[in-house]
Amino acid sequence: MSSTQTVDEIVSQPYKYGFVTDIETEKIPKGINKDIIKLISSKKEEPDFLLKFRLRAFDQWLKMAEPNWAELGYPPINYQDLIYFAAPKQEQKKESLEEVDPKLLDTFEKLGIPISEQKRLANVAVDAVFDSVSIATTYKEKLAEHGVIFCSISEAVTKYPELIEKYLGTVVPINDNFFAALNSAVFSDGSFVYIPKGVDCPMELSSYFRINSGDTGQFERTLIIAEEKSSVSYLEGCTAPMFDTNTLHAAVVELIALDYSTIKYSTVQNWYAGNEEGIGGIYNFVTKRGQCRGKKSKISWSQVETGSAITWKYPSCILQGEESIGEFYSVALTNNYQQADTGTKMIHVGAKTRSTIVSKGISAGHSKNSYRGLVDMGPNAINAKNYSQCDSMLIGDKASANTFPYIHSQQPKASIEHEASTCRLAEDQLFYLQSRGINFEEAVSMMVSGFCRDVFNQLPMEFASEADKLLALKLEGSVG
Amino acid sequence: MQNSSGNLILEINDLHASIEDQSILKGVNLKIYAGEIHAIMGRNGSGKSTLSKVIAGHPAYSITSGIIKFNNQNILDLEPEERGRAGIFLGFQYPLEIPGVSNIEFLRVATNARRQALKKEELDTFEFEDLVHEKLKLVQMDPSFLERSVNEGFSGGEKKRNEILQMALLEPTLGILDETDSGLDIDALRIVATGVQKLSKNDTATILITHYQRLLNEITPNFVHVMVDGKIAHTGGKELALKLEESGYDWIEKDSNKSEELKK
Amino acid sequence: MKPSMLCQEWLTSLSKPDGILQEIQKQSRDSIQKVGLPSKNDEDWRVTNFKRLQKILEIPIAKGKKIDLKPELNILKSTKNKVWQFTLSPELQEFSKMELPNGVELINEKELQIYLGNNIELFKCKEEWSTLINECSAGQVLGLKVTGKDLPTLEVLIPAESNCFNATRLLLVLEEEAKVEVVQVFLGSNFSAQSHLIEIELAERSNFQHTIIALGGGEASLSAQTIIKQEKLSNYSLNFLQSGWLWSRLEPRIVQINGEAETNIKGLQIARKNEQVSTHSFVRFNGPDGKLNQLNKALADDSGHSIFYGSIQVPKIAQQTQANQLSRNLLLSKRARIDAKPQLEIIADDVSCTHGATVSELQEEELFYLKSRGIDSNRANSLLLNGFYQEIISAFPMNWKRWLFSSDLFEVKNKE
Repeated sequence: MSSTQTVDEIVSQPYKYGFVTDIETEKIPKGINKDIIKLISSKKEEPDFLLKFRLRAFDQWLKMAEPNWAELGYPPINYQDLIYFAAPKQEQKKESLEEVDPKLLDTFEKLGIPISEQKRLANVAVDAVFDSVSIATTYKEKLAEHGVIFCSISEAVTKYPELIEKYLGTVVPINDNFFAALNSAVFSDGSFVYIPKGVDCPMELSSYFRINSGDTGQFERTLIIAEEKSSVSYLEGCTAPMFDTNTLHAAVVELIALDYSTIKYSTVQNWYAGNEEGIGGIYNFVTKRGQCRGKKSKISWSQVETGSAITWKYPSCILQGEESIGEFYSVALTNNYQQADTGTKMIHVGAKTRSTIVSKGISAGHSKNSYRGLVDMGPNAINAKNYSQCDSMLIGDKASANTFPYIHSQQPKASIEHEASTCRLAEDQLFYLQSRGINFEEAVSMMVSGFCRDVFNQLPMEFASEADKLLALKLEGSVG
Repeated sequence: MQNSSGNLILEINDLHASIEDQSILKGVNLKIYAGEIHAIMGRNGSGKSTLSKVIAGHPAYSITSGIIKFNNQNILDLEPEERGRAGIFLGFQYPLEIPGVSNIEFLRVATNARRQALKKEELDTFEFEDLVHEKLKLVQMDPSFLERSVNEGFSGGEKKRNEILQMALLEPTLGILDETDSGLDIDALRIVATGVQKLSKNDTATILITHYQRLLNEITPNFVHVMVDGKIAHTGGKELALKLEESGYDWIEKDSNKSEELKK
Repeated sequence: MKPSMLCQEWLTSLSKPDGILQEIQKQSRDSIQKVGLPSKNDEDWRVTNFKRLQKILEIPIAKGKKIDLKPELNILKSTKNKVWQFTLSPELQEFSKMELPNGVELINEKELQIYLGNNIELFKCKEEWSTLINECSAGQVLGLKVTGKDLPTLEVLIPAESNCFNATRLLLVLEEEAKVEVVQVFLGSNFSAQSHLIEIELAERSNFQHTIIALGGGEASLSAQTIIKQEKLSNYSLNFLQSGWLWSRLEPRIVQINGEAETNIKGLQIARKNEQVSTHSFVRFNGPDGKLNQLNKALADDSGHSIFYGSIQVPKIAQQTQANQLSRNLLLSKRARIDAKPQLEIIADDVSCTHGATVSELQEEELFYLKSRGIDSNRANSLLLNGFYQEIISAFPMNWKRWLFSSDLFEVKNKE
């Protein structure tokens, strides 16, 4: 029996979050222009500075060309054929959960994210985003006792405009790239986190993104600010229904860490990846960047990327503060016709900054999985250090794994060390496990999970097992 | 205790040293006279290795206060190579592997640097070869090691013998052997110990840094010092090492805590 | 001047298409007008100093000094190695009158047409700037076929005429089981520019030991394109040294056409003063069971800039490929720069590929070890530097050092 064939069979398994919630949705007309942007802004009752911000971004976007990456292939997107704002019809944003449409609560419960009072996850505060708007945020009061602000970014715009004005667009400038400019012009909702000075956030914060409408672009925006000597751990999860058209998701995430603060940002991304023939699925073009502004600050990205038809994302760290630390731990699993181009940039600006990169790519089916990274040691990065490790595993002979680690240094007292390897799922190890009575599927899943161990160890406890399950699910056959 | 009639070779007064803002040595005092062998013992992290590196001038450590005099001269401002040429030799706990640098060339350059300092004539390649072959016998090393890169692919024992070979060539006034015994089997240990003994003269001194009694069975020290938390907490004769072997370090740590409290 | 204008002027300064390369000259001159000069948007050229690249086109074309094409068979005193040496220049040389050692034949004009451009086609690099600039300007090509085994080392001296642009082209074909060692020595001089193109075909079980010693000087530039096609069971080893060029770019392109071959690349590049030295290697496996070992060492000092791009492609057909690439970089000055970019593209699943890259200065612990033995700072630095080089230059032919006219390669200036 060819093991490749069997592995092929077991990596193909249905997407279980593919249902559509039948709910009346308010949508604005298709297309993008200044009037649409003004309409979005007025619907959200935004202050003037934000409308100006959006319009500036739109002007920039018009001047920019869509990037054309060698490693990604997708048909051109018609940006005038997308809807830029969709919201489940509700009277107003509800103050209490009892008033939220039960269908929505049901939806999130089906996704394993119960948000109603009785069932909500212990010790995890959740902001649930449905299409373009945030519908509920749990544990807000408890967090408020500690001075922590956790709410939708729309709410923050009205309640804390001075914080938004001060920080929005300062890490990812509006003209950073094509998709960041588009997001800055039309972003609908997302999460906002503010941790005051000296506070260790008492619980995990989590946002859950759900795309429901088929023809709507999703442009959420997340902003996290950790003041001096504070810390926070944040997790985002994502799913979408199955449509045979492609949906664009172009998010922007900005993290700001001040002196001695720590931000840990984890992602479990399971957008709909399209079917076995590669039809449908999400185009996931996101810009995530954190800036370690303060001394000894730390930003740690960990991600488990299993979904989307195309993923293009490089969660990055600008290590500005002296002795600041950047980390990137990533597992990217691609199957069928998925394409993932992901990696990180570690920009060492300050002295004694340190960064660690651990990337594990697993490609199966006809998928393409690329690691693309940059380690940059600037002229002042004295005694800065980087260590990177990028490993790829190929399952089947139709998948591809590419590695493009780019290194640039202008500082002799900085050191960079990069290691990478590519291997196949080792047949003799499989055989060894099987000969001990472990069935084939379980053996594959054990080995993949072992291959990813270094990254899973970085995830918050509550989600490490979820990530493990998710991978197993993607790889296992008969299990439902 | 033995009376020391020789010259004062090393004098350390109230030495404090730190690495990356973490203080390691917290007031070391030590006097070593010609003809003496001193053993420094202590737990991991007590500062033994740091002391040896600081004497040799390792750039990672900063001296926050105190003084080190070698042959009556303050050496704190000297570069590592100036200390080496003056006659301080540090046998490394983990000798470095330096790929591409030939061992014999390294040995020759080092030997000539020391000879220059001693106002002796430099040796040409042939003269040096004669010398090095003679010294090889002392550590029972195969000449093939000369042609390889410095320590590259050497076993633990071979690396340590290469250290003693360097010591034999450089003829230091003060030899500091940092855990030279660790990782050696009994035969290698004998070879190293014999080497060290043969190299000890009336006008030289040796510091042995070690965890174990077994090296001290081969080389008898005049003094045994115990380091606790960056200081020499206790000094005795060779019998102290035996006591440590039997009862461990706890009693000394208690003692030194007591004296700390008394001070307060 | 605008790059397009520059290109145009350069083309008009070339002599009319003529001789055996006439057709190639015509085609490539058409192409270069369309393609123009590389720019920042070309990923493979992104960090290039474009001013220097353009400067090359402003250098007058060498008319070629009449160099007596009299190959010499030397027996080097030091090693008793037999070396058959000749000098290649842009001047039209009468290759047919050349005496050749047993086991080497001149490829005649008719046969040349069969081989010429095959490798370029294979790599689809006809429109690469490094290829184009040579095809536009080279007036002749020397083609040699190696049939034997016990040959003297072939040493090809390629000196540049001062203040001139020099284009040279070579073609080497190794028959089955042939074996040869070729040393190419590029010598730059004041404001000279060199463009070189060499195509090499290795038949089954042939063995080619290739050494490139490229030593610039003054304000010299070099663009060298080496395109190698390996058949099964052949062995190709490239060792190179690039040093002293104001601007240089070496592009080794190697394809194992049916796999099962062995490729070794060991390169050393040194960028000092304000030099920009780059290597862009491409290795592709078009069949199973291929092997690659690549080690690239680079040093950047003063305001030097060293660039290494290393692409490895393992398509689906290349099962059981073993490819290892390591890029080691020393950055010795605050004004110097290192860019390194390994690129691995792998589709075959049953392969073992590794790559690694490091950038640092000399190891402080190693320096301390040497210094603690009384070795002074400068000496310790140059010992370590020598050690860094050793892994590469130990693979060079025994007598290569006679080309090192100055010995500052092994010296480190006092940083203090």
